Amino acid sequence: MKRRKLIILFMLVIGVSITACNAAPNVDWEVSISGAVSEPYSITYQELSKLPQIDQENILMDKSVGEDEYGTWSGVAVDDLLLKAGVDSDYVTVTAIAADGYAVEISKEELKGSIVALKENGEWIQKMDLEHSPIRLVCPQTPADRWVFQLLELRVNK
Amino acid sequence: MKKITSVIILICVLFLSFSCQPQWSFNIQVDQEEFTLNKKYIDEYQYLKNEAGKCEGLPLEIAFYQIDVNVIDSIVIKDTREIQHTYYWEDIADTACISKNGEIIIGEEELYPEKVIVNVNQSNDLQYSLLNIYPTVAAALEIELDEKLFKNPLINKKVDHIVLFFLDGLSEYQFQKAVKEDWLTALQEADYYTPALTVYPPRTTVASAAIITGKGPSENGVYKSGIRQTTLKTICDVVTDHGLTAVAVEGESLPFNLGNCEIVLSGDRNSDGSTDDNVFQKAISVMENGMPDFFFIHFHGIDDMGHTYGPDSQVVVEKVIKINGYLDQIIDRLPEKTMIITFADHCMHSIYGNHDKGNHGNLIPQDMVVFIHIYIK
Repeated sequence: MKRRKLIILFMLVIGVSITACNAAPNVDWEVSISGAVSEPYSITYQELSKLPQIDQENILMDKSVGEDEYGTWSGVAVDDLLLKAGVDSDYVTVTAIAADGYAVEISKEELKGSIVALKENGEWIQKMDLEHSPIRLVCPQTPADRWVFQLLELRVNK
Repeated sequence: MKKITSVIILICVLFLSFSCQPQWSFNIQVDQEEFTLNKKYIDEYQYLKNEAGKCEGLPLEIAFYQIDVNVIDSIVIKDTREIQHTYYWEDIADTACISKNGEIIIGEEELYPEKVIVNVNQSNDLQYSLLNIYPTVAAALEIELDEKLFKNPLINKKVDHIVLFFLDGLSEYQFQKAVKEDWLTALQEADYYTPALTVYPPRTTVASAAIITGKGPSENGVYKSGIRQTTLKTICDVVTDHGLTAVAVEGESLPFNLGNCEIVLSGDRNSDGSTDDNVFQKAISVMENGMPDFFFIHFHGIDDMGHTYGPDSQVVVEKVIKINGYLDQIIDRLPEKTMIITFADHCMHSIYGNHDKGNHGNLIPQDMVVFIHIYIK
């Protein structure tokens, strides 16, 4: 009896540990959706982590310098974030702005399949790549130098 | 007694570990000067390497640039068996690497050098570089700089406005040809003109940072693509600190954080495959809303076409002609007493064996020799 309790306790500890390891890290970060939208809003890192996540598997990271790489990125679809802000379907581009002021304008066409990624190859970006943490815009249709890391704002342009 | 024994053992251990380290050195000769390269040097400049590079030691180019070599024609490696190996630099620039053991690795070849003689190009000692643009802007807008910290202004004229035309990827020889062939009529008149050196690696991020900080990579910390920030004041910061207005019209992305300039991005909103028309329209729109004191306008198309079709392609010529039209219309609308500084960030070479494409990033004249053209309206 005692042995069975111990096994259950052990399994519980393992289960809780695994869950804790996979839980989103505690990050103080917000992304705002602004510009030509009817309901601009901000969303926290924690809220992003609870939205449906999309895996962009084995996509090409076309680098301007060095060898290209393939990787899997997981996060929230940009389309979903824009729709929630009431974006018009006739928007033309989105300007992605990083925390340090770096900015990139991306056309609607190029945004196809884009996600606000929280994970790279199954690991939270926050835990494995401090330089690019905690989140990164991943646009499979564009070279990787336009995948804005430390994303702070998605501004819709008409 | 015990203490003395411990100290002796420690000294022995230190001596042994020191003597086990591979010690090597060889000399690099540039003109009549000689520099010694050793393992310490290789370790010191590891941080300058592109992480994705295949060189496990240090790319030879990085070592050369650190001893003020800017443009190379060829090198001669004298190995320890007194055999000389001569290479054109453009053939090996991408692959030549010094290993941590002091070998020079070029593709499959491994050489043990005793001496390396660098034959620099005649443009190696050009007097001016992109770093001269920053003090020229400051002088023209009557902004005082600490002269000891910056290069000299190229021209000492006071004006009301400055426009920087940034023609990405247009080399000095292309510029000269374009003016001669009437492809670049907007820039046929000049109050000042000079060929100039860009910085290494000749890439847009690194060169942009050098232009807007007036400092090279070793001082502004921007020594490779992907670095977006500097701790130094940019020309945008300095201009706005003096109560002047500063606007930058860029293409679809910033090459680098420009600082306090008001940023106007101009992505390809009409999906015609180029941002230059968008940049032009945004530039006109900015001027219609009030001419800024400092106006930075970046056209990317020449570089884009050069990468895709090669720097000497007809497509590049057509792009130059197109941009000439934009420059013409912008200059026409500029107020009097405006200084227009036109330059490129880097140039481009045809990819070896494939003249349908182009690239840049090496210490060769095709990549390193740009131009600075100044016209005062």
